[in-house]
Amino acid sequence: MEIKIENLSYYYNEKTSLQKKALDDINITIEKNIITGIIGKYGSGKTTLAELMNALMIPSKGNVKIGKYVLDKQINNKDIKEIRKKVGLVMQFPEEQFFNQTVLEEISFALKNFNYKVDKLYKQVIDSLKMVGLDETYTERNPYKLSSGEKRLIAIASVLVFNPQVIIFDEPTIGLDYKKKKQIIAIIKMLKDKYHKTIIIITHDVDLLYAITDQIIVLEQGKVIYQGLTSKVFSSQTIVFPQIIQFINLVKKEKGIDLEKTNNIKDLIKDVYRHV
Amino acid sequence: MKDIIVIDKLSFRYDNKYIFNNFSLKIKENSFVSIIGPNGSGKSTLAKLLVGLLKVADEITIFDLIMNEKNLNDIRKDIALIMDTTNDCFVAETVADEIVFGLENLGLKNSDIKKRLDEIVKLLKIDSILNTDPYSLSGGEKKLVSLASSLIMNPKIIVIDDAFEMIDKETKEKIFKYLKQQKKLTIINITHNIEDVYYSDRTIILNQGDILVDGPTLKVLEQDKVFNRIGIELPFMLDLSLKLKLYGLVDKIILDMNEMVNELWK
Repeated sequence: MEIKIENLSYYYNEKTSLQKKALDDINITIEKNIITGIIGKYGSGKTTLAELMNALMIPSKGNVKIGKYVLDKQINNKDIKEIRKKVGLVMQFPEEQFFNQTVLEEISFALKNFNYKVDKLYKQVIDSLKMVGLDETYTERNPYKLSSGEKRLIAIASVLVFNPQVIIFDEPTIGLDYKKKKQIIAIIKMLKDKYHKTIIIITHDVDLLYAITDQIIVLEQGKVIYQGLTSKVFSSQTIVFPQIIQFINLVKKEKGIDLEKTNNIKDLIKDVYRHV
Repeated sequence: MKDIIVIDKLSFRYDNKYIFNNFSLKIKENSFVSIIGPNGSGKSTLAKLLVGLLKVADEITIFDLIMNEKNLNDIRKDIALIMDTTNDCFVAETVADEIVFGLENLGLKNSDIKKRLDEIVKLLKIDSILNTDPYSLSGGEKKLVSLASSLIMNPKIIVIDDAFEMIDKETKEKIFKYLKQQKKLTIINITHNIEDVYYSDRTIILNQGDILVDGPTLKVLEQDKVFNRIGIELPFMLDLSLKLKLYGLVDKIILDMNEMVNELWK
C-alpha cells in the first residue's frame, strides 16, 4: 500500500496562544513493500508524523493519502476507521499501554474493537504470536509479568493481529539491549520479506537505520531535509553516519588515506593495519 | 569520603522470582557511579528500591537514615529519580510553570526561583519551549523537562534510570558534564548503553541481580568478554580501541575519534 503525503502541516493547540508548529509543509512518497526509516532529533516531528499516518490526528493543512483513502480536514469517521485498519502503529514503549489480564485478551482487543468475527479470533491471535516467534502457551499469561523483550513482542503481535498492510514502528528498539534489538530487527525484516508489509521505522538509532531500511527520510524542525535510498546515503553529506563511516571519512579528511568503505570492524582494522 | 548509600544484604522478589538475593552495595558521597546491565538484570528494580517505590527496605541506609516509614519522606527530599519511561505526569500549562512547580511549593522567593530557572534553562537549552504546553512536546523534550524539574530542586542524589536514550549525543554529553561538575551531588547512572558510562568514575556491571564487575570505569570498559556474554553491545570506538590495543596499534582506550586518528597516524 502506497502512502503519499502532500503539503502536510500540523500545529499543536491550533489557534490558541500555545500554538506550536510540529510539521511544516511536508511532501513524501512511500512506495509499497519497502522499509522506510524516518530519522531526526527530538522535537523534529517524527512522532507527530507517525500519528498522522495512522489517522490519530487530523492534518492542519495538506493531506496524507493511504491507498485510496485521503486524510485531510474533510475526512469522515468511516474512512478514519478504515485507515486505522490498514495502518498499524506500534507506539513508543507500547508495553506501557497494556490493560488486560491475559495476553489473549490484550492481543485480541483490536480485533474486538474492529468488530471482527469472533470464531476466528483465537486462531488469529495464535498466528500473530507465531509471527513474533512466540507460541500458544503465552495466551494465558499475564502481560505485566513478562520480561521487557517479551512485552515488546506482545505489543507488536497485538498490531499484527488485524493484518495491517502498513506498519509504523515508533522507536521499536528503545530501552532494549543488543540481543533483543537484533530479534526485533529480524522480525521487521521478515514482515517485509515474507508478508510483504510496507514498513516505516521512526528512530534516532542510526545503526538500526543502516541495518534494515531501503530508504531514509531526515526531518529537522518539522521539515524534510533529506529523502533518498539508504545505499546512496553513504556518499551524501547531509545526514548522520554510523560511526564506522564517520571514522573512515575522518581518516580521509585528516590524513588523506582512503580506507575501504565497510560495515565490518574486523575488515576496517585489517585495512588500518595496512595503512599505519 | 563517607558512604551516602549502603545496601546490606537486600533481597527482593516479584512473586516467586528473586531479583535480588543478599545484594550488597556501597556508594560514596559525591561520586558518579554507573550501573550497567542488560534487560532483566535488576537495574530498574534497584532504582525504584532506592527511593522506596517498591517496598520500604530497611536493608537500605541513605544519609545515615535507615529506610523506614518514618524516614522515607526525609530520604525522598534529597534523592531524585529520573525514570526510563516518558514522563506524562505534567501538572502545569507551560513548561516554565512545570519546572518551577516544586520550588514554588517550597515557598521560595520569586527572584531566587527565576535565577535557578535561568541556570537550568541555559544548561538544557530549552528556552525555545518554555512557553509551550508540556503535553505537546516530543519524547526527548519531555525527558529534558522532567530532568529540569528534578535538578531545580537541588537534590543530593540523582538516580538516572536509562532516561536519556531519546536525547541526542551532544545534549547528553553536556548534561553528564554538568552533573559531574556539581560538587555536592552523588550521581547513580543506570543504563544498558556503554557510551553512557564514560563520564562516571566507577562502573558496576550487573546481571541477574549480581554484581559481575565493579571498579574504575576505564578498567571496567576493558571487560569486553563480560559485555559480550551478557549481551551488551560494544560501541564502535570502544570496540575499535580494544581490538587495536590487541594488535598493539594503540596502548590505551581512546574514545574520541579525532584523538584516535592522530594517535594511529602520528
